[in-house]
Amino acid sequence: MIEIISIGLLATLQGKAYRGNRHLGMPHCGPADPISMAIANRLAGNAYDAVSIEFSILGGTIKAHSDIIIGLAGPIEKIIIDRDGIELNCDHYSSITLMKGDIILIKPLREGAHIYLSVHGGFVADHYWDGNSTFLPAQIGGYGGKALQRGDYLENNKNMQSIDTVSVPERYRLSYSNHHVMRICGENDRIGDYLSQNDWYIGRQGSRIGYELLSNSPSELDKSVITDYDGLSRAVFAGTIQYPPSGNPFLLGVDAQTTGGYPIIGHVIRADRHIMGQIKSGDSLRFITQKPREARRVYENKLNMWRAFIPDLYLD
Amino acid sequence: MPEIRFYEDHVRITIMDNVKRNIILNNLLAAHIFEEVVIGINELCLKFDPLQLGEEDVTAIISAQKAHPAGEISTNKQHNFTIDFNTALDMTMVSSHMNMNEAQFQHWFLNQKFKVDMMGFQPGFAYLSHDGDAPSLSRLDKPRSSISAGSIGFLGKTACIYAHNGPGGWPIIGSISTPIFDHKKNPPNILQGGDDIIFEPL
Repeated sequence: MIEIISIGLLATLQGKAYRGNRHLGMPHCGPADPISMAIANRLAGNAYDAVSIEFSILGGTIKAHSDIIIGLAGPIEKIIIDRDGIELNCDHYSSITLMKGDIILIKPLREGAHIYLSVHGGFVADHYWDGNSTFLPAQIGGYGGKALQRGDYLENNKNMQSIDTVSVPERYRLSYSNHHVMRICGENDRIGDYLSQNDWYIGRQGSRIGYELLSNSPSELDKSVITDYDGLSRAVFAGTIQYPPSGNPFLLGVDAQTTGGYPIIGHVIRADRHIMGQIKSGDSLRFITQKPREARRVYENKLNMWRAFIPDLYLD
Repeated sequence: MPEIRFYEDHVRITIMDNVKRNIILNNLLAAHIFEEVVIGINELCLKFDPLQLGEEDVTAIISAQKAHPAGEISTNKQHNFTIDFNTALDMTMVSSHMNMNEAQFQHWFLNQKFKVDMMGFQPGFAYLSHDGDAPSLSRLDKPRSSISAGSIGFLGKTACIYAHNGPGGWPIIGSISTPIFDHKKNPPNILQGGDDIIFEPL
């Protein structure tokens, strides 16, 4: 069991997404950055989607109330373990054994947005509709559907068992930046050109629900190129880029709605959607266009590369 | 608009007939072939794992369903909701667009019989339509970052009920206090596609 000592901006429990329920209006949810959470779970000896803590923007501090093995991943500057008043520096690219009473401080990098802490066995979470991730708007999943707060106690699913210590190989150590590049499929070639020829930055509307895309000198999108639009609500997904009348595209995140009525102008490709989990307000963004066939090939290559380290990883 | 349009990992299929669309939705959900089957106002959208299914596989499944859609949709319920127009955020704009004053618009609204076209957007969120005469409205230029649960959105021929607090781009003409989603119930959605709704004054 662990105790939350402090939270930066926001922390929630994330684990299995709510796949297959969008016809009921249920968003995907789950980790904003599924690869980072899978790395943390790999270090903790878990399945890739075992329930973990997702810290948004500003790290946090926890206390172990039993001996536990944890894994950490994401934009971490350093971690410090306070053991009986002695500060220990730890390698966060390896499995970490915490002793009962240890307090661990997670200091984030300035770059990136979400850090994951997994515990061997995974945290206990509310199960709902085949998922267990927190969805705050409906107060579903995770820790009673709520954000974690100071003083919360989180149980893990198994008692201490010995597992092999794992380290993240060099090639799987992600770097973080305030500038992001994502590959997209434009709704058509001209819209793809519009998205790829502008330099974008993330506006103040940025969260797990989605990100407003702004540009200092946007080229105008000729509305006549939006041909596949009848104004009626239709399916949208994490990675869909909408075009509201404001003229500022909106990139939908993992907690985004399931349907929408604004024109759809593109989609972040499946292989790159995990990148959305590390962008935040003020970050800059560039798009590179791809055809669906290329996007499928990139997805297969990327998944195979990651599965060499995390065999059960699934990205959607 | 093309009848079938493929993307990297999803396909959109235009199906104008509401009953046929719902039957195919239920059949495909029961088959567990796709990652997601999402209903839109005039379409179905199927999300698939491109490493498991190719465009040819998906096309064959869609063709078989469209040729012989077999099944039934469940019987409908009627719901009576009390609407509070005092919580409207866009009453002046909406009634003006309808060429009515606010009292006339509220009277008109209360005399419409609404049908739930589909669920979507958020858990419990309902898309409604009516048979009355109304010009179409546009969504807000910039979506609001927070709409209260129970808010009623209105776009002329269509309306909606927000089930949770959250972002939204529909003009708001009032709200109901009856919760339409309860995660402790099974099913959690109070409304279903095909249900009828009557709004009553506060």
